[in-house]
Amino acid sequence: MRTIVIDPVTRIEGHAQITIELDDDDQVARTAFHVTQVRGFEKFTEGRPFYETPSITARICGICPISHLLASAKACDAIMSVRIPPTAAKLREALHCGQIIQSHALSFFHLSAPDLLLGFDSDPVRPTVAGLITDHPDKARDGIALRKFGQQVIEGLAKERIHPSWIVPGGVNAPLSPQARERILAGLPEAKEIAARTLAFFKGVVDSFPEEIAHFGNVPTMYAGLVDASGGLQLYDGFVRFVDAVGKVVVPAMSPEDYLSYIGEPTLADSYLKAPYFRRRGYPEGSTASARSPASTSPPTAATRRRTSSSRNITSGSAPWCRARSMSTTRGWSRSSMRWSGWRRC
Amino acid sequence: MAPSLLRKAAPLHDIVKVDVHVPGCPPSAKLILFAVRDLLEGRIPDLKSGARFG
Repeated sequence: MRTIVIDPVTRIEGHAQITIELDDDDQVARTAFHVTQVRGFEKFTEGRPFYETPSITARICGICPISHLLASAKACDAIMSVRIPPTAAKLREALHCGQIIQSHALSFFHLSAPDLLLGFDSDPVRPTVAGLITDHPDKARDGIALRKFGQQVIEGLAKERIHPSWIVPGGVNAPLSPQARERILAGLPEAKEIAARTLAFFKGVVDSFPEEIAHFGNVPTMYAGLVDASGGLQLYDGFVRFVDAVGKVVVPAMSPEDYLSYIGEPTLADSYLKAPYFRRRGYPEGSTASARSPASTSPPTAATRRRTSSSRNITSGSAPWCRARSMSTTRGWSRSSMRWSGWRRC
Repeated sequence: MAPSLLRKAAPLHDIVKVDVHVPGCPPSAKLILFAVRDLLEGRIPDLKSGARFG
């Protein structure tokens, strides 16, 4: 019995380790993903005025604070039982498009592209976006430019790029200035071109990694995402749709307020991150059983839960995930451009 | 394994010797650049003119 420890896990927001136990035949007996930090947001916000939670929960992450701000503000809207002005909803959606562009650009160019371009087995000190500047300057420039555009969309709308105070319960606290709108419109064509050629590049490079695609993070899982009434991708508001590993719809439209009826959130003994799972399919008992375990409606207690692999019901294989990132960046661009063109008439 | 929690949460500067506090959540890009430039030139930056706590 041997134990392999990967410590630290890099290229994530946060801190984690991975433990892999091998049996006497050198087969994987058990894996575990340990998040080694406590944040405490759910506890220390208890008792605080609810309208503070958007700016508090923004601090969960410096890359995607917009997502937390929006989710929190929407919860505050619901608590106050208000429907925000339609313009505010469009502005919030535009802001989220800006964030999708910048955070996906970061994820793709800073976190994935170094491995795709420099190779998964390159010297560990090399694969960073800085490592790309020598051998692949065009990709480094594209990544920085695309992220910069997304950040400037955020700045144009919300004044601050990180943790903006613009999103508030009930809407947003300032209108879109004509100058900001014109600046964003001017930057859209180049941003679209970068996203399009990145997608083309990724489609081309995918064929170089048949082994990785076949084996890395490639387990059958369910998927969940936000959709509009006709099942199209939504970035700001809508219903949650769950589909299975072959794309069959399992839950067509869950209202966000019903979240806890669909998703269980058990705590783990060896990690400070909870392990959300799709209640109907039960808590995953092992990697081969994760997508097909018999339905179990009661969440497991610490005493009855067995050790599981690190795969969970709602995850994604790494290659389709990268492609999804590129595609939703393009989608973020196209929704942005629809919004901006519409506003020329406002 | 996940490390055990300590009994109390302490501010960073109680545990680690801090040479410069760069305030802001986040600090502005201008302030970060100003501080890093001074440090690269061997100086402890004086941030009183460019920033304020609280």
